[in-house]
Amino acid sequence: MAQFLKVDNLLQIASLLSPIAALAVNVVCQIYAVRLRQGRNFLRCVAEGFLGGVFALVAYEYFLQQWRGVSGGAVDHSFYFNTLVYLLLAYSFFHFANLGNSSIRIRIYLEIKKSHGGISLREICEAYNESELMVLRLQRLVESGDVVVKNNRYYLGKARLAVVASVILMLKIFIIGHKTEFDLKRHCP
Amino acid sequence: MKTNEEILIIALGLTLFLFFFGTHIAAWRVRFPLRPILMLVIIASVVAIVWLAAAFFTSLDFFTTLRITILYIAMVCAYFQTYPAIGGDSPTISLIAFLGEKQAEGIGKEELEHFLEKNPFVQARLDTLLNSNLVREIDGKYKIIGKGSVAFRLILSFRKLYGPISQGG
Repeated sequence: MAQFLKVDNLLQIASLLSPIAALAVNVVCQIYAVRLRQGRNFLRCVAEGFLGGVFALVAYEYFLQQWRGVSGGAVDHSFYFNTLVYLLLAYSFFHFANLGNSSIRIRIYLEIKKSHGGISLREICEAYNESELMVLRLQRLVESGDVVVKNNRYYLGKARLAVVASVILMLKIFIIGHKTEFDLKRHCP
Repeated sequence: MKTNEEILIIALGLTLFLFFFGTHIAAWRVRFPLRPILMLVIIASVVAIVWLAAAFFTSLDFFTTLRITILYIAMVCAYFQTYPAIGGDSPTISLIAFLGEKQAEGIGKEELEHFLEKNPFVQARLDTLLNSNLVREIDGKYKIIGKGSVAFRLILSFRKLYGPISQGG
């Protein structure tokens, strides 16, 4: 143990904690931003949380560099590794946070949980109207500029989600061999 | 950390992920699993265990092994979060793809309703809950089985931290 807790090892442990500390700052900033805006502009809150994490990562790495005594200009390569890990963790956290905010599965689960003695398919479909769902999603997309409205018609706005959609479509064909999961699904009564 | 060491870490982390991904694709080609996320967790865990066992017999030091493992776990976590959009249809992504198809004329209310008829998202997610054994259909009523999954409780608990926000969907 004494060998393990050498200063060099402590530095290595501190360096390993860098992306986790940055993620913690990301989480706190995002929660604070969402609470401040009372749930509006969720994607903006996500972006602010992410940037908070980036600042924390840079500050943490600067502190580590001072600790190591690395001369100015020379960046230790763990910075690139930690940045990569932070990006992956932030991406995972974004999806995790978004699940609670927009997942249909979570909402249906909540509806069933709230009911005493179970709930029928018709009741679920009434409680979770697909048209309302789409209006909610469209509202978010319009807010973020991904969709634009002209003369009561919806058009594609920013191209970023169209790129994501194309990539996902290619992955779907490659991984599950279908473009859509809706070949054999039942519809709401 | 030196440049060579960093390249080694990223290359080995990526190799492990590609090994996981290849096994996952091969397994899906043989038979599409009823509980895909559980199957992904099993494949990822087996790859991690085999890697750690193999690393024990190499000359890699503890921190290098740990870094490679952390990178692999981070990549697998990112894939786990991406998979639901691949395995199932996301309403947002499907809508964007549909809007992309109708880029010139856009879509109105009627086209949107037709799109929803073709893509029953609610039923699809209900089927996922049934297949995951989180919900059971008894006499035409859907009921929660047991206390519910840990993952769901975790997501719902985290959501409470946001305070009062509009319902999901």
